[in-house]
Amino acid sequence: MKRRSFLAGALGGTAGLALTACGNGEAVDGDGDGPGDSAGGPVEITYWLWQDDATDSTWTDLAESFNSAQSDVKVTLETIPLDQYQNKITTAAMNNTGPDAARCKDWWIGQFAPAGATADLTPFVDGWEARDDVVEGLWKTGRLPGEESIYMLPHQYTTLYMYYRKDYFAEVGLEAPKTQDEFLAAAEALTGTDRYGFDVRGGGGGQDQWLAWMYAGGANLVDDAGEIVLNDATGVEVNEKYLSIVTDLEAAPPGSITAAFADVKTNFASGLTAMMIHHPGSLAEMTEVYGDDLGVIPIPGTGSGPSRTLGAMSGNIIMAQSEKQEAAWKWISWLSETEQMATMSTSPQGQLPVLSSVMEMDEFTSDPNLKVAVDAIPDAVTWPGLPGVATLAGKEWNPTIQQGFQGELTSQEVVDKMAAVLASDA
Amino acid sequence: MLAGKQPTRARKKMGRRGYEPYVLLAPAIILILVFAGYPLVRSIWMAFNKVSAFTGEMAFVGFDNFVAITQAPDFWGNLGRTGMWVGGAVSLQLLGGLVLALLINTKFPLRGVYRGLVMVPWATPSVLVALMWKWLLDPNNGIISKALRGVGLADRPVEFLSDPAMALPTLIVIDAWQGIPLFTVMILAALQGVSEDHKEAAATDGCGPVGVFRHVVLPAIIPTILITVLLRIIWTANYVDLIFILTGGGPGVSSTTLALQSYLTAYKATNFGQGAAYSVLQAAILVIFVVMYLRLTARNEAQR
Repeated sequence: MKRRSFLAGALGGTAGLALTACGNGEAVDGDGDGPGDSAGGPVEITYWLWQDDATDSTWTDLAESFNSAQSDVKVTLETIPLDQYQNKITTAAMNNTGPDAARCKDWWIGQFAPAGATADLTPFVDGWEARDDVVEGLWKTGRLPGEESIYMLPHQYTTLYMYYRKDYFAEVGLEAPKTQDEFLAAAEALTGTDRYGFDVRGGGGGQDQWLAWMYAGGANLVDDAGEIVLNDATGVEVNEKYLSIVTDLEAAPPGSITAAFADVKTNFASGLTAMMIHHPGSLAEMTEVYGDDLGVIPIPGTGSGPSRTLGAMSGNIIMAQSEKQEAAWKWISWLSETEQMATMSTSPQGQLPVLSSVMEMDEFTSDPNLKVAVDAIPDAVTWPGLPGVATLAGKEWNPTIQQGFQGELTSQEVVDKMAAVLASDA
Repeated sequence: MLAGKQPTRARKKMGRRGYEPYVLLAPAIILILVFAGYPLVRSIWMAFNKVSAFTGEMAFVGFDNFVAITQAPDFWGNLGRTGMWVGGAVSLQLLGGLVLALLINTKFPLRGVYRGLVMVPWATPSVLVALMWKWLLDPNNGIISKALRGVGLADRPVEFLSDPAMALPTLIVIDAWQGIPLFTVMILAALQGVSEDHKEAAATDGCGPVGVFRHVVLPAIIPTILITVLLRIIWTANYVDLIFILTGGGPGVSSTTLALQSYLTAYKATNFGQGAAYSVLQAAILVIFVVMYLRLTARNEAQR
């Protein structure tokens, strides 16, 4: 008997383990018939996000406010590091184990939406009271080229600008650069013993600052017809200038061609570099470090007309597989209402609001440095919603630009290679 | 009669309970099938399909994925770097592990404490190892670069991880640092099984320390060394954490290996078909080492 009991136990235990392992969490993510629903309680939804500052409690505070302010929907947050975010959400969508709603970057939309991973939010948006409060030009960050359907609800926006050290510029008798040629001359002049002009950030996340430089210099990824024009004559020339910071001027610090944001920030904050491209997310910290010695300017451009820059949107999507889309919409639209948006945008990990009503608040108009970012919004250009954008940003940009910095590829070869990736359906 | 009946009874018993070994093995077999067998079969199948990243739908494309990856401009470079990465890291680990094992096999004060401390790099999570070395090797603020400049061995910041000529060798050294403890412990265990009598006999016959090591110690620890080397070859070939965090495969592609390329292709470019093809190709190469490992362990079992 003992032997049989043991054998039965072994089999039972194995079956239990296997079933547990194979379960896809339907109790939480399932079909909406969970205990909460049948008992008339709130519909439980899951929301995936990454946090720019994991020590900040704004997201959890907002979720608690949402859950306590109404009884229809209960949201549970699941934070995933940004580095793993795209992998996780892709794998989850493939296995039908994803969240109901999720934070999303604009350069993933071109990959997610055509594959049917995200729900069409247009019917929700059309009936949303705050629709007209969203800055009209920002809706395009959630659309695919040539389409009217909206796949991402704008939430937190940022435009890239340039920090510079006023005291360093004063030492060499230069004004803040307005054009890219002036910038290159300044970078060279500011480079000396243990001091460098600018970090090119060839490592993680560097594609955004590179694209801001490209847009500012007049280059485009696609034209109005949606054709890829990154490798036209302008693109080659502007990219050549960017590469020259390393290849000709040697104005970037050691390690810059593989540097990620943490390295770039440390180098600027420690005084190793004189200029840095970033966005308002680091303004408070940099102001604290440098006070009045910190200058903020638009990214140097062509000198003719307003300088363009990159606008980057972190919005919210609803997963197509979710059967609780109404509840998910209630959460993400609540996040984009005036009060919540002001809370998020003024938090330590906040970016620019997307609602005109919030943008007009004193917090966003009184600081001249922050105003540089706000003023750039009308002329900012985003990543286009092409399937190849995620592949370029996530895989191909780093090795390609690094080969350009090493002189292994010419500027033409660099942009040709990137244009080919953009054109692919990867 | 008694001798004749026993086997018959045993056979009957075996026949009656012949299923029991399988029942007892069932938990392990089912778990292996679920957690290793299914992903393995699915990966192989993916390698022959174009996979829709978000729906998981597959369209059979035959060997197209294999053709595409082998015709990619960086394929042979990635393969060569994989060989360098595995060969370099495992060789250094073997050498370092052997020397360290011989050292801590001798008697000295606080030997037990030191034997414990030796395991620290192996016990440290890979992500922490990578971050620690990233700080140490930072060209501008890292202590190693500053020290080299301080003593006059370098006249400018040393770009360990952003110089294409230095990135892969640096990664190999870091991996060796992390992997040496395993070799040390394995070899130390084998050394402690070497008969003191044999060593004394060899010394009496005129062997010096080198002769004793070569003719007595080495033959005794060779099976352990071979098994550890084979295991480390397999693990190192599949190890991407360190490279991904420290260089991302760069600068350019100067530290990209097949395993990293597989990960980047599958998860960053969401091309699961070609990502799986890289994995299957590497697995096919590693099968040679797996077979060697299995034959070696089987031979060792037979010798006991």
